Amino acid sequence: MASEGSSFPEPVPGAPRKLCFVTVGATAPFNSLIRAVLERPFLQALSSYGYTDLLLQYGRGGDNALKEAEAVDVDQDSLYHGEGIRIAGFAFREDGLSYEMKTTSGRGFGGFEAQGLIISHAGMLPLASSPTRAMLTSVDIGSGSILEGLRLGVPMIVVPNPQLLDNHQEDLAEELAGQGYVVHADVQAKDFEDNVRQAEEMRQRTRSWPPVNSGEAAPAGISEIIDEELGFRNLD
Amino acid sequence: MSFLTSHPILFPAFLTLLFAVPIFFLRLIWLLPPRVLEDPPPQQPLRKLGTPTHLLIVLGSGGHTAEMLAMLRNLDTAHVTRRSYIVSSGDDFSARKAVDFEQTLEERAATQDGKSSNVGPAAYSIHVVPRARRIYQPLYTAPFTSAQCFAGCLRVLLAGRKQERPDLIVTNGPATAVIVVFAALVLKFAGLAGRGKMRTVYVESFARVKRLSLSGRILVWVVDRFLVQWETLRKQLGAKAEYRGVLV
Repeated sequence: MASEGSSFPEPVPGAPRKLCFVTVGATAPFNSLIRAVLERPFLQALSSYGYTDLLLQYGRGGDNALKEAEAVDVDQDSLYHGEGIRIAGFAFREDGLSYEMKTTSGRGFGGFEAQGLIISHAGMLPLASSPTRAMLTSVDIGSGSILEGLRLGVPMIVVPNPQLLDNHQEDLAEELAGQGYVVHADVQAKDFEDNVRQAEEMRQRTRSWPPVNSGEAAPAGISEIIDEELGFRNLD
Repeated sequence: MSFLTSHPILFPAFLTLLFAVPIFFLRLIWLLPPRVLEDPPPQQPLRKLGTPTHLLIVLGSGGHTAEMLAMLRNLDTAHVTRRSYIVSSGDDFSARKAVDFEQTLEERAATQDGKSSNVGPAAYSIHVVPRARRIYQPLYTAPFTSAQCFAGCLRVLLAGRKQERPDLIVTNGPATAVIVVFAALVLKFAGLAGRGKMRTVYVESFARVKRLSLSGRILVWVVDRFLVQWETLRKQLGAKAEYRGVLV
């Protein structure tokens, strides 16, 4: 259901299931992001773009944000929903988020036939200062959610965690957004509805990863450099 | 000069220092890569296919390990006949990922009608070294644990016969990488590494767009090849770094 005066399109009845997956990573809580994606205008925006499901990897303490969210109700089967969107969440996954990422691809994983959206924190690596054992064996560090999202070609909103104050995350989000790969969002700016609109526009012109100017159809990795260093080269 | 003659040991000591210090630095300058890297990089002596080669891969915690194994996914086991992985104690994640990676190499070799052997448990080993700095460890004890890590790395580098020592060491960001590279440098300095062995390659993380990581800032002066994955970063570093596109 769209609110009055909304500039968002009306939902299509009987449309395929479409998922928005939010991941905050394992290194630090990011409850401000979880709260932001549970606000009514954001859920309405999702609904108007045909999303049916919202899945949260909310990290430590993120379940409270879900329980306390004003726009979210619990039905008799204790399932969460708000503004017509089904909402589910979990803290961490021991063996990485590959499956959850794939469910946004629209290739039928988990019954989702429409390509969805990934909202990801900007951290790729656990911070050297504070990872615990449990974190090292869990979630995003499976391969870096941003990279995985880029490879899937699913629209992505990247949200640096302001509490981590690690500037290189901001750099990465900015650069990828500048090249048209992701939408760079600011959790404090509170304009996630607009970010979703940008991400939907991005879907029309998703650029393939890796960048074409790198000269490779797929990243060649470092086997070429290893060959050079070991003294294997083509002599023709 | 009267100070030097005040004790019989002082003058010989002075002479020794006079020669030892420049020799030390000359040796170091000889070993370290030039401040400005050659473009294209200098060619290594040609190697015949089939000669045994040994690659040492330094794995770090989660993200570093994942990036490293992603970069190695096209590894040709006909060229790299033996692999060693260094993991920090307690990092079961990386050790498990290394085994998984070797299994995919094995499966790939099996589909290539047995053309490439050099796979399976005999072709690789995983070495655990003490962690350089444990989580929540007080900073003042870090030199001691780093020394333990250093000793562990030396042991791995010196394992086996001289001709079996690593030909090439590839690393990305973890703290262990810095220690492994310095351990290799010490061995090269002492002439214990073996001829043309223990060359070093560092790849900065994909997550580093404009600034180097701490490991990168240290190792840019020391490694033989220094790669970054963003043109922006390469421009900043000038000729110290190479850019070959995204590698992960």
